[in-house]
Amino acid sequence: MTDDRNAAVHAREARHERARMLGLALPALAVIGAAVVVPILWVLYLSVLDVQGHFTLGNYLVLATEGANLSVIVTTLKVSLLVTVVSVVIGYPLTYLLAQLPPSLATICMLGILLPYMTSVLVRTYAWMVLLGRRGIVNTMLVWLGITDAPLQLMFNTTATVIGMVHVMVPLLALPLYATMRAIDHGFLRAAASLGAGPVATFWRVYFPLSLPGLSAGTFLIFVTSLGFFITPTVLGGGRVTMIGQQIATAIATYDGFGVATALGVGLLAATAILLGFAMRVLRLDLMRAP
Amino acid sequence: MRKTMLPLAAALLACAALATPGLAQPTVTVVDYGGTWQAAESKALFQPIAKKLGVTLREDSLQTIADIRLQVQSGKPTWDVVALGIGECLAAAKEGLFEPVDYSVVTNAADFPPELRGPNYVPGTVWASFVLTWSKEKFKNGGPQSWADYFDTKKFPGARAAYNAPRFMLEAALLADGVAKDKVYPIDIDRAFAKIRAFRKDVAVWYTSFGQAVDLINAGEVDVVPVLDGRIIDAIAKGAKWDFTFNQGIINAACSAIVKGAPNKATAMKFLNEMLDPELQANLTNYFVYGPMSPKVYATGLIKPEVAVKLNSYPANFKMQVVLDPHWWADNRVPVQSRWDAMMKE
Amino acid sequence: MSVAEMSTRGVAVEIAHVSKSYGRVVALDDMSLSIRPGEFVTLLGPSGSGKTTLLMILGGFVRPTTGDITFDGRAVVRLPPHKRNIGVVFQSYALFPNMDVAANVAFPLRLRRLPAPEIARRVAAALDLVRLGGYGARQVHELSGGQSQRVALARAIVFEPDILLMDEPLSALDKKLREQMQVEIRRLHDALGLTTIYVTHDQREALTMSDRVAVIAGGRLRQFAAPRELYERPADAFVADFVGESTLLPVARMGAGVALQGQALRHDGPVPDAAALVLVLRPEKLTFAAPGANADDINHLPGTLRGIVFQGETVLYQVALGDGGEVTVRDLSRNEPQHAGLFPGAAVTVALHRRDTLVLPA
Repeated sequence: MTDDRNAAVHAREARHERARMLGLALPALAVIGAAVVVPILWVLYLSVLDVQGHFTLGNYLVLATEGANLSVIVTTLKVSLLVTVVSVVIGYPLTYLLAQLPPSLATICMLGILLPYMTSVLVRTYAWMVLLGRRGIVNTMLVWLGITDAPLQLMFNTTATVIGMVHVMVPLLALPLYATMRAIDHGFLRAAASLGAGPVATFWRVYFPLSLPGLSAGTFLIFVTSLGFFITPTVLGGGRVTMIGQQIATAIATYDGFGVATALGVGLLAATAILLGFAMRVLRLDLMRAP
Repeated sequence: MRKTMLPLAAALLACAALATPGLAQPTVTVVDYGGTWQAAESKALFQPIAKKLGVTLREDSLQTIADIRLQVQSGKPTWDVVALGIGECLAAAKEGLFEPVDYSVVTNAADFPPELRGPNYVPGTVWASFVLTWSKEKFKNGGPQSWADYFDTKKFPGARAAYNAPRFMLEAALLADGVAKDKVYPIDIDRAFAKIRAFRKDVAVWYTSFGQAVDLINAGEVDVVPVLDGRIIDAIAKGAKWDFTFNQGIINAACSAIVKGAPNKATAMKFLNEMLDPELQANLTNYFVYGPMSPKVYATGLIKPEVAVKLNSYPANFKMQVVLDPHWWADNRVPVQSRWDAMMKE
Repeated sequence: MSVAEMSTRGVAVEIAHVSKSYGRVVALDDMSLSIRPGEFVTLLGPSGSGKTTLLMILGGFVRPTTGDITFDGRAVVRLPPHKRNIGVVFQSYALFPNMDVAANVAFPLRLRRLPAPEIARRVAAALDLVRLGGYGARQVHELSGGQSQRVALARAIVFEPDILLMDEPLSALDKKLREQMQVEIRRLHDALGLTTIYVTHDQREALTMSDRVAVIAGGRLRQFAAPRELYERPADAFVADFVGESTLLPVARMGAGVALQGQALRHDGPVPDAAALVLVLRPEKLTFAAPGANADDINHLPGTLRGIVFQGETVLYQVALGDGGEVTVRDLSRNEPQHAGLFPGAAVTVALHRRDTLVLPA
């Protein structure tokens, strides 16, 4: 009898505990709902409305039939991928170096890397104009050194856009990667060496696979953040790089209503989800399997 | 004690009496593109009008007609009067974002040519002119004077910036290709695109906003740029060694309207009328160099002669230009933009 | 593959005058050890004694400040770890979390570019040897502490290293598992004949497993001897104190012999040539004698019983000697009836055979 009563009490306590846990999670769920889920649903809803507010798939027809829109999505994915790859190629060795430094020195260097992330996009972008422009530092040096007679056109193309974006994106890789690298036990590296692995084999077979969680976190952050860039491709691309954000702005100005603009957003969302879903599976496999 | 209390109470009452009319005054919210332009417009026009009508003025700024759309879709708009480019007014009116204009109140609208007003919008305060500008440092012996010169990089070598949009650019292309000023509309789309397509290789940078164009001028990245006259006049005033011409400028009207469901519609209607008053528009030239739209403005005698000759709507300047046809653009905007986008991605 | 097939001939390890200092801190001070082929040697010492530093120097992870190391006469001191052909079992096991058990064990074989069937055969044999046959596909995080230990061991021996280094490999295991693994490691060593150098701070573990034990303290070698000699004939007070339980009491020189609190002690062997001397009293060497008893071979030390601690198979009796400190007498609990008359506060006489009367330099 007593046991039965206690069982009921324990069950009630357990229910209350679950309720309390849910209560604790509620503010976070509410924020995510309000900041992420609702806007996405709203965009989806707007994308199937015409100017009069009636249901239509015409906006998606525009998306599918206008070659320019598809090519913008391709450009967006291409530029983002390029930025991601270049950021990894630059950011990985940089972060590796940082992870080998004494922590106090590494912290100072990390602040240096984070600095561009803490300045406004506009300032960072125009700073590249100062560097790469006709009268910029690079061209002035080239002419002064006699390498070229006239200033080179370094700006207003894909390369300049990628450079400008990488500058901003490297910190997004460095932060999670640094945390992962710092957490790698040096015992693993000693173990690898004792088992016959030289520095190169130790890096590729042990250190690199162990740094993958930070690398993939940083890679995803960069890729997804790059998709939404607007000012940098506008200013440094000089009209030769049109990413989705710019095209959405054009669509808002050109078409009546939000239909086409939101359809473009949904198109990008779908393309990104497919690409990331694919990448996630590939990278997961990498994490599980020994190299 | 009682004697000393009385004057104090009276003073308090007086203060209250002075303050209450302010609270009871009708309010009107006026919205333009913001920045230094709206600040000038506010001083020259909005504030005097508010004072004259005895209304409390509130201001806000917008970027595209999407901002108006959001106001209307919210069901409870806070904006009353909006000022836009005339093309945007046509689009917004077509979308049903404006209240009908009560022309019995907005009597000043009768001064303007009928093609500049509609059932839901009236002309605005100023013209904006898409003009050819050039670096005086690059072209010491006189710069390019026509769109033909702009497109001719052999005759006038130098880095070109171009506007990354079909509006203004197609007109400029046709004028450069030898089309007469009065034969620009309806635009020969194929001919205009062919001219621009051939020109693409000569363009160093395509800008998206006129602010960006000014940045390019100030950074010395380009030598020849078409840009709105107000922007280049401002840049020159701030020290840019540049010059421009109204010759073949493509001049675009502004417009004003009342947002659908505006909270203070009746007051807004009166405000709209005052915005078209020639004397108030003349006052605008004391603050900003855009040419007022009212056809009666130069007859007021309120504009200083040395200022008048620099304005885009000054008859001698106006004559040199082509007036942008908003109706042609309203009908052709979507296909032309998509063709433009396709060309830019070739 | 049988154990016989796997066994490698152990190599001789010569450590000659090795020192290591970090700035002004001396971690190792002129350390010399000769280790015979196939020998199981334990480096024993308290934490911070330098034993792990020596192991890291042997492994090639730390470069000594001075000194030389040879394996079978071959100088290795300038070789990086991966060229020394040594198997190392780390305190943390250091199993690669990105590989399963088989891949961990195969790691050194893959680096040596052995053919795949050969690798599979050797991995299976090594896992069998540590009694983990069939565990190859397990993920590292699925293993218990003891299993991780065995995998680490299999990985360290699978490539037939010249030497096996083990850095406190059992410190993370519970007592029962630890004792079981001690036996297994020793069994494996005997089967493979591998020169094994083992680091621990657990003196009982050192005595249990080793052919010889090197006691290290303050970066210096205090004694290098077989377990029995280490226990019975410690070189100095430190070794006596660190290896086994003991109470150290200061003794004075008296003529040719020594005296405890003025009482001359009977003892074998010469008195060490040192300024200060101590008497080493091990609890299990002490017994009780009848008060006033006298015998030629026995030292009788009068005292007062302070307390009795029951420990299961043994009982501890704490005795205060005159005014000269406290000693512990340990006896088997089955002998308790013999001490029925003892109670805290009782006057007792502690008996110490002259054979066990150990006088050492302090």
